Amino acid sequence: MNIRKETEEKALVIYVEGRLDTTTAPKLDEEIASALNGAENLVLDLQGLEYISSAGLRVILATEKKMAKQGKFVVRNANETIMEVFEITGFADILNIEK
Amino acid sequence: MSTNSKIKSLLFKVLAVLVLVGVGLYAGINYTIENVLESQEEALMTDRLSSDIQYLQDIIGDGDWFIDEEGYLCRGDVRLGNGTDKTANIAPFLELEGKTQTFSYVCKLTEDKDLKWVGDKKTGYQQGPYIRIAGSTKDADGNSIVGTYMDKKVTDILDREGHYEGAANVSGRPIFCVYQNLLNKDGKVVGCVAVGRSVEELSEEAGRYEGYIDWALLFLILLASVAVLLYFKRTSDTIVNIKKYLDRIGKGDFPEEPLKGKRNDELGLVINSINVMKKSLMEKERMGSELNVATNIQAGMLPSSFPAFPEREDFDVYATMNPAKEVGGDFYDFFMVDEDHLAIVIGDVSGKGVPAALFMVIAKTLIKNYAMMGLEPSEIFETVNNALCEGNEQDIFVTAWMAVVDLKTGQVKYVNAGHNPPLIKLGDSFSYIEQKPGLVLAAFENFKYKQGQFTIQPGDRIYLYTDGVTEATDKGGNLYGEDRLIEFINSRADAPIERVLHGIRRDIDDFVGEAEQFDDITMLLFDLTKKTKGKRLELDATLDSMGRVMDFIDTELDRLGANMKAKAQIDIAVDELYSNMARYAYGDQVGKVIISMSSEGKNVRIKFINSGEPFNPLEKEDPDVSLGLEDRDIGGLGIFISKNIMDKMEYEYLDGYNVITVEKNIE
Repeated sequence: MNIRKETEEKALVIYVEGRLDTTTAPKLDEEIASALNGAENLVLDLQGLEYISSAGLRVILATEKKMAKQGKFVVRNANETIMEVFEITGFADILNIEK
Repeated sequence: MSTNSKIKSLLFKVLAVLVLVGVGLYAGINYTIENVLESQEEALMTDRLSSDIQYLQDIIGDGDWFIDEEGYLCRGDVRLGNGTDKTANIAPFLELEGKTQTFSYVCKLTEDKDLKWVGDKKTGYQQGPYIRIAGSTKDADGNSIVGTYMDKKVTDILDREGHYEGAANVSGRPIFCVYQNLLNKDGKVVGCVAVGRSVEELSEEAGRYEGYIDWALLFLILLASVAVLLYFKRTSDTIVNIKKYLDRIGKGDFPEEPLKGKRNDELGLVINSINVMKKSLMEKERMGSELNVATNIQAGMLPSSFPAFPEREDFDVYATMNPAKEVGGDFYDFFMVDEDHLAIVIGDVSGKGVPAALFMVIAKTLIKNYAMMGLEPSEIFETVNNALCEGNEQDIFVTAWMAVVDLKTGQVKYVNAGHNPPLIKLGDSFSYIEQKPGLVLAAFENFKYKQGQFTIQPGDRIYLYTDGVTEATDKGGNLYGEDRLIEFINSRADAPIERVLHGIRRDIDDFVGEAEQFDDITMLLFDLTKKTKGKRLELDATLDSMGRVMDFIDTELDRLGANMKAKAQIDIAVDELYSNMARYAYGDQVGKVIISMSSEGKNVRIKFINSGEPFNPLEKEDPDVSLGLEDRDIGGLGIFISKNIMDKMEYEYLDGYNVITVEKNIE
């Protein structure tokens, strides 16, 4: 899994590529935690992500809970498989997902 | 009670017996010796006093005894006295007393008739007609006894017998005396002479002797006791040695050295016998281990390396034999006759022990040799039967079933010599092969065996077994039986072949319980594998191994040409299911997880197997996915996702294993 951070306009964008699963989720957790302080606008770009498992969902849920208090959190560019997982788990209703 | 304390109490008993015997001996001997000594003493004393009398007479002078006109008792020229002169002629008497410690006196016979009592009639004595006229003797008050009369009891005896020996009363003093009459030249009694010792002195001396004897006796008894104890200690040491030696033999630990102990008594005989016994026991033990060797040879004769044909993907075979305590004659065999033909054999030799095992080896070898010549199964059994009949003097026979499978066509040719009907799985379930079995092998020459035939498809199986399976008996005498066997094997009809046989074995154990296994339990399972053969990964269930698991799954999915989406979905499910097992299947321990992958067409099946506590993740309630953000929790989502993105997900607990199966179409 690769993680890349960029600032676009006023938002911090985190690009995640590869697989977000049991092995890689802790790494993303660390990266987001270090970037989150004070951020008001966070985007998680899943363009290069193959799939996500519940371990990845855990990180996203934690991020969503934090950002709900301090600003805006958007998830974008999820592929069909990832969207299916979001649908199955009801995350599609919780998250702010952009196509 | 330990043996050691027993030995001690035995010693104690001997000691007690010795003390009793010692006391008895002491009392008995002492009593006897006292009596003997007493009479001996008296005899000795009498002798001594008699010779003292002689000596006194000698020193008094020579000549005849007579009484002169003045009433004096005389001997030759010597006038001894008449009873009035207290110190008359005392010198010879004092000389005697100085030399022999005895006192003495001489008496004169008087004509006195009117002799009186001294003291009263109870304590005193009546005087006799002899008056003491000279001597060294003193009475109880220390006065000379000259002038006193003798005791009438003594003088009466003197008158009668001429001498007296024994106790006497000398003027109130108890003494031991010897008296002898003195005669004149005409042989007439004129007086008497007496020599004696006081009784007190005598008994004092005797007491001293007795003391010596007591001590000597005690010393002798002690000496004897110590000797007996020492001897017994030696004996008990020998017995303890024998015991230790026998204990070692009892434990099967045969000492190389023979039992030592140089004894020429009964214990020596026992030691000899033990040494002879040890030799023959060692011989028996050696023969016993030869029996074990026979067991090992029997087991070693059977192919036991699995997978049996790792290079072949078109079939598989697995077999087990659990020998009974005593060597039985069960055997199985499987071998390639050529590239396309596999022979499978099972058999049971009648009887037990070394003869059965040896016969088994011969039968198995013959069957294989003739099969390798390419003979038909019926021809193989006919040839083997004739060969076994030859020289079968022990009337051993063999039940056997064999088949030759054409791995290309699925044609199975088989022959049965009195063996249990095998179970075949044609399609979904097992059933017994209905065929009248031929005669057992090694019974009659030239028997014609009928050959049977059927055809199997990939996925079909053949299960061979011996009667140790169906005749396994529980404590109540009930047989495991064919019905339970077929029911059980059908519940595992498609399980991996090793798991089928181990499962049956476990089911038999459950059925039998505590009862002892009397017969070998032997099984063989042949499987004509479906064309797509599964892959299998076995590893320690840790999260660190996740990479290996993913590589294994992805490699296989790529090989099978899975599309991107299906692959991602399968990866998600594998991530969820494997991480779940790695975290929870064995608690804090690390155990094994087996992941097997198989495919039929585009349908992929993945099994996750662990041997942890039974746990069915599918029983867990689905998480509520409609909750709002603040109430959402992540627990249980993994299983829930897997369930939803796989086509099929199942859980079963089978023969001690948790098995989770997922299926997915990859097209």
